[in-house]
Amino acid sequence: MKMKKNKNMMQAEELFDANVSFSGEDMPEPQTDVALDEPMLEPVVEMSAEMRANADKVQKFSDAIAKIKNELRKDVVGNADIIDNVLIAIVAGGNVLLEGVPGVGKTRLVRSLAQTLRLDFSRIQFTPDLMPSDVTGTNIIEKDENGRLHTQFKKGPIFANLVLADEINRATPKTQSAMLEVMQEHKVTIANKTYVLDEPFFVLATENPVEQDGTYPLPEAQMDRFVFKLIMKFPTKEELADIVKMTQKTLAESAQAVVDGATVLEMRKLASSVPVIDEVLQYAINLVANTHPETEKTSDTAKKYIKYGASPRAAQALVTCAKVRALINGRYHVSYADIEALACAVLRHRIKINYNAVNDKLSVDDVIGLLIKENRRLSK
Amino acid sequence: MRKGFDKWKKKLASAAVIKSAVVGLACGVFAVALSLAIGKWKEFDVPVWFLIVLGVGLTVLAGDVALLFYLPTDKKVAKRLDQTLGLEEAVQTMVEFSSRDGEIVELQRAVADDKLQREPVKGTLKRFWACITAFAVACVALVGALLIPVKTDVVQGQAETPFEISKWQIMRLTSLIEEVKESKAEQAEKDGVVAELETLLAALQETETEKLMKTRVINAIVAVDGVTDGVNTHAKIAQTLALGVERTKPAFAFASLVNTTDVTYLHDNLAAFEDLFVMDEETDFETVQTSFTEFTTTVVAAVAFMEMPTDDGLYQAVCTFAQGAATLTTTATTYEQLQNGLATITDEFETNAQLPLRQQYLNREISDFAISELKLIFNISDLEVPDLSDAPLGGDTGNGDGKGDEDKEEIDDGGFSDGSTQYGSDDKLYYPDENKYVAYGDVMDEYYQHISSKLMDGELSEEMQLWVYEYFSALRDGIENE
Repeated sequence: MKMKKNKNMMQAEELFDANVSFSGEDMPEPQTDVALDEPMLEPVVEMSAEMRANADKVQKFSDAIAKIKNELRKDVVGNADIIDNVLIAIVAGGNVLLEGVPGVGKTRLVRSLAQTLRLDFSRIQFTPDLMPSDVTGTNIIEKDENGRLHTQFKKGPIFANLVLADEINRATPKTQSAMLEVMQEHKVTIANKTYVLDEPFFVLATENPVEQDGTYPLPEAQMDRFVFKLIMKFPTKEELADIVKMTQKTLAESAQAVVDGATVLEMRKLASSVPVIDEVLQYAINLVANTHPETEKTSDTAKKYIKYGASPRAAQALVTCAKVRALINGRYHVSYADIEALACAVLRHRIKINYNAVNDKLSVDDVIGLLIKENRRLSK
Repeated sequence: MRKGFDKWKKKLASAAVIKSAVVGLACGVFAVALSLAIGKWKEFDVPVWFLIVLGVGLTVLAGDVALLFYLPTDKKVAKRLDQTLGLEEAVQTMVEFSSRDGEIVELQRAVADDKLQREPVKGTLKRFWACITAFAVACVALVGALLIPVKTDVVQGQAETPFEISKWQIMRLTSLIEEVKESKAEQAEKDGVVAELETLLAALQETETEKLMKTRVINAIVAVDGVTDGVNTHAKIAQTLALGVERTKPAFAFASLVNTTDVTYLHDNLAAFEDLFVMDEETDFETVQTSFTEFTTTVVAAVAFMEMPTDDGLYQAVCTFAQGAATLTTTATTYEQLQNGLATITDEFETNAQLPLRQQYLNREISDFAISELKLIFNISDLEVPDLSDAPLGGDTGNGDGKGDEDKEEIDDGGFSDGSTQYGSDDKLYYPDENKYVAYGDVMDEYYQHISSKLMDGELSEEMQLWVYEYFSALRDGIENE
């Protein structure tokens, strides 16, 4: 995600030194564009059979990602970085919150993704009158063939692999809280009975910006369950033209299934084995820890601009997703660039900026940018 | 399975060794430079062995310490490679997970090392610049320390004072040589003095220090005096006469008048000598005769022992006198005969001795003149020149050219006189330093020294220099009393 650099952010940045990164040169802007077109170089060293098998696995991983992206491009115009992050989150096993004004393609993206992944897909359209049981399911009383009454649990739409929680911020907090257990633990408990959801399980939620009428801000506890919050922007004129042309033919998604759930689980397992050195790990931890203004020896940015910081889930999400990103980018290790590239997506919905930031006309992403710069300097 | 990494590590380790060596050398050289500079500043000699031990020791010590600092660990090498080659922590991951197993871990190691093997091992010269610069600075410091001049003691305030003979001094010295040549001194005297002066002139033109100049001038003064002592015979004849077997008063008196080269006193001195053989109430003829005989014996014996050139005029006169005295001792039988005979031989001696005595007087005069000029030209004080006076003849001082020091009279109002010549003036003039009127003779020397230094410094024009010189030279020679 490219950080916005308005005049006030530049003024705030003057508070910090422009420091050299660990790689001996200024770090590039955090970005999630993935260059998957270049094939990985064949190592010159002799590989054992096991290594060759692992290399094949990685190649399959790359091929799968490439196929998914190719299919998604058929239905979704632009938003390459959104697609990349969504894929990262899915491989990492996390939930994603998509925010954007109506009509930018949030639902279409999720639906196309569901088609591509050959996963059980369900869509929940959240409305203010939606009840929790409408999401999770409920026990109903049924008469069997003998006419005896018994209760039968009727699964709700949450019981799928990929759940689209459309306009989740339109539901009441009560209904939103019904998603809490599901999103974190992938199970539902109703009437003291726990129903485990099938893996892989993802919730991709969409929401309108909170300034629109008829919406309820998501509670922090639920926000923390989303590994990413991605903001879909209004398309450019060229992209809009492509959208219009594409939808003149058909409104239906044309993406084909290329990957199944088992493959996604294998990809997840492979990504989890990507090594992370202690320095990078500590870097991610420091980044999250420095979002807390109440902590001793915290960052100056946090003290000045943050009301409350991110939870430990943020650190977990950073590292897990960084591993996936590394593998998607053709690397077998996590680098500082991976951490910094995902920082905005991981932190923007977990930290709360204070009035000073508002007064200085700094957005959450601007504050995260300052945190990254300060973290680089402190980590040197 | 770290061929690429090991290749780079070896390169970086070699670079670390070289860098440590350069740092060690820089420290060693700088320490030597510092020691040298301190030694020169505090004016003590730093032994060479100390410098060698210090330099080598510090080089080794600093080099070892630097090596501990520079020698890279695997982690440092990995970090350096990631930064230099832009590998985004690949090498660090490879090193940190080098002993771990895992699907991706092994692949990661292989790919990372593959990348390192593909990269050509580059030099790290730019990181040497700091060390090389430090070494260059140390070398410059060493050269600077070596070039610092050593302080030397200045002895008597003149050890290192530079000297270059001035045109005025050359002119005066050349003029002096000409004056000596044109003087009426004996040829041997003139030749000897001129030779010494010419030798001095040549030597001074190559003299570069004040101290050496003074040494050479003083040596020349002594040499000039020695020339006269060698040419003149009056002192030697008088000494021989004074140290005779029978050292009697008449013999001593005769020796004294022979030693006096100022012929204006010769007649009076001879008359006084004759008076030694006059009878009075306490002496009779026999006593006088005996005294004369003893005197004659002494003189004859002394003449026999004198090693003088036979053509020396004064010696010939003394020999003639001795012969006459010897004859008189046998022929004079009465007091009148003795007196008349004595008068004859003394008159004869006066006639014979006058010319050689006058010549030797002139010899001494030119010698003293040359010495006086040398002191003036080169600002040599009397205290710096050794005593050149002849050995006394039983109480005589000076070189005998005057009537004798006991004859010098001091004039209360300044200056002094030996009877006929007054040196300085008894006129009084205001002396600012003491805020009173003093006799001119008391301060004449001081003024003389002052104007001499002005002459030496070239503060006066050449015309003025000559006038001033002649003025003070005239005063120096004294004023003849009428």
